[in-house]
Amino acid sequence: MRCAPQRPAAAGKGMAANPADQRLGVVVDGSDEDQEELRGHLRDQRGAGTAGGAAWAIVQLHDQGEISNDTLYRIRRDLDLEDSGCQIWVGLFRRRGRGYRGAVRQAERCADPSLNTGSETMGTVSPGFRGRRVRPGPELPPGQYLVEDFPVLSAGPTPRIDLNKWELTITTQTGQQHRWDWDAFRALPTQSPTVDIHCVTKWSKLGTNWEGVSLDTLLDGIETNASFATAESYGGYTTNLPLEDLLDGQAWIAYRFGGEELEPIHGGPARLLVPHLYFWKSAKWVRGIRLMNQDEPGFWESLGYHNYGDPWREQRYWGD
Amino acid sequence: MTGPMMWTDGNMLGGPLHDVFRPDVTAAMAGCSNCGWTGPMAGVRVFDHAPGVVARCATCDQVLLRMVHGPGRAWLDLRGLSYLQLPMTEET
Amino acid sequence: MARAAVLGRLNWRAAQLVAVHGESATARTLILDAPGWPGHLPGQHVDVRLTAEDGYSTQRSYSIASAPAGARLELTVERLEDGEVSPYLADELRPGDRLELRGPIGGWFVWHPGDLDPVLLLGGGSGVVPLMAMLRTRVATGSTTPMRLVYSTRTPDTVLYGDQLRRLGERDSALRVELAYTRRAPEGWQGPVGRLDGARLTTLAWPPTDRPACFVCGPTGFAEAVANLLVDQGYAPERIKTERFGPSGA
Repeated sequence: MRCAPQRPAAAGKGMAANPADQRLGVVVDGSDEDQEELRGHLRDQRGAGTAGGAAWAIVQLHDQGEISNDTLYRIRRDLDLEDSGCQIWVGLFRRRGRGYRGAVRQAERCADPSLNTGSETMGTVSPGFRGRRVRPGPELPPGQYLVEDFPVLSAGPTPRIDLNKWELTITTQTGQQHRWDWDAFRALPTQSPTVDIHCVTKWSKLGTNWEGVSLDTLLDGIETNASFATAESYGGYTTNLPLEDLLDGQAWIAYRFGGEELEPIHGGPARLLVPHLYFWKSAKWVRGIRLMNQDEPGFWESLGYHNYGDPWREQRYWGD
Repeated sequence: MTGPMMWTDGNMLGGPLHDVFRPDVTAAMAGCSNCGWTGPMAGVRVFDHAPGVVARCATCDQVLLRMVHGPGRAWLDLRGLSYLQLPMTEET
Repeated sequence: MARAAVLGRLNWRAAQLVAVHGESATARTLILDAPGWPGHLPGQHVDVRLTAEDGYSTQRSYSIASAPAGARLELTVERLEDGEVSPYLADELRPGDRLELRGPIGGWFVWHPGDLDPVLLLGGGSGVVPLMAMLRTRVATGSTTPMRLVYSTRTPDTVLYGDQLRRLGERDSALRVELAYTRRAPEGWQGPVGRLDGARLTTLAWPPTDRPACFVCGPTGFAEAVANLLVDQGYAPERIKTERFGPSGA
């Protein structure tokens, strides 16, 4: 055999959450006879083809968790490739439209290794590199990794906000405004939610502790029939979501994290916290919530990121 | 990380934007549509620790350029630039 | 096959670590072999991508430290305390291991060996790395362009390329290397200790009337301060190029 099967990309319990869209893909780069054999031996085939001179096929496996050496051996045996000189790449490939793009691209790479076409196929592995993550745990949405630290992401400089001038304003669809200065805001009843947070850049933190004022408290007594809300931040950032996603214990204006005052780099003095959506919706340095009749895509939603952003349905980009 | 200095300069735009612009964008001259600043793209402030790449004017902070790279496609918003002057080789 | 590498396209390519060379207590140089490397200009950088066994990947930019030499290129990595990537590159990656890189990137902060104007290089901390590439390229191409490096660093222990810089300064009268210590100087040091100021800069650098090409590289604070100093001292702003390393380079 020319080469042993490669370890697949991103195996982990989390990846099984969306079986309709993911299949174990097998790409075989070999002679025409080998490829014919492959087509003849596939079980539970979900798709097959050739690209760049290699055959690719999608094979359904029952155990979609860990890909063990036994499983790899079984694939080679089932495909009758044990003694052939074929190179095999095994990985979790994602379906887009009518084909399995990852598998097709991997097949193209077999033919032309200078084509490294991107993130769905695995890059060159650097041994021992783990990054900041810990072992993927249970209960992670698809495609996410657990991290120990709290990564700081920002589309702009950290605003310097004077607490004497800080204001939170809720504006209804009729233009009516309800305003709190810092003292008034801090006098409101608070909650201490412990929640999991998921960033679209793939990191997740479980069991994070916050303290803040629930949007139910802030919106209590405000009459509105608006369906949408836009959160606005100092510095100009905006993000949009349905108003109902701010209600019923799903959202807070948080000013403490992990038992301490929220640091400016993490959105202090106060940020929106909406943990059931990707974390770009939890606007840092929040200054207002605008209730609207129409949905208005915010900073990232207007440039490719999904309008809603449910991590459990992996709604990262437009069209997901 | 500490401090508000969370940006690198436009020299690092060459990586994310290489698929979009054939000429080198870091050597391009740019104009800010908000404050009128002009200068090399290498001198803008790039925030790349984000779900996308954001380049801001070093003078007025206006967003000049935004880019999101998704699987198999990318989105580019250049509205903050009044112009981009790209170095082109003469083809004769 | 028709989609083979197009000239000018930046693809990720695999590179193998061939050897390492310690530069200081917290930094080392990685000597990499990247088959098919198209060559580079000093001042350019690469994006480095690391992939873990489960597919997680992340990338960072590093300036190329070496002069162009076929498929070989060198990166100097400083270990940052809370870094995600730098501790791995500075401490763990071993000869024989592989990573991916993309480049060379950048057409603005570069020195072309054919340029004859005198060159003033101002580096702060690890900002000296791309400037070292410029010095090394000048030597490798046999250029006689006058080049002067002012290298600001905290202590004698934080100096990168110490030995080579010493030798470079001694071999060639058109090459001059000046160190500026900001916290602590070596035994017997005669000069001042502390941040570079305008007065000190003029004693170390080419005069503005020489109209040198100026390359300033280092952490954001250093780069801004020095660029401002140069302008105050009368250097032509359009001849000053800066590259700032933000704290995001961890």
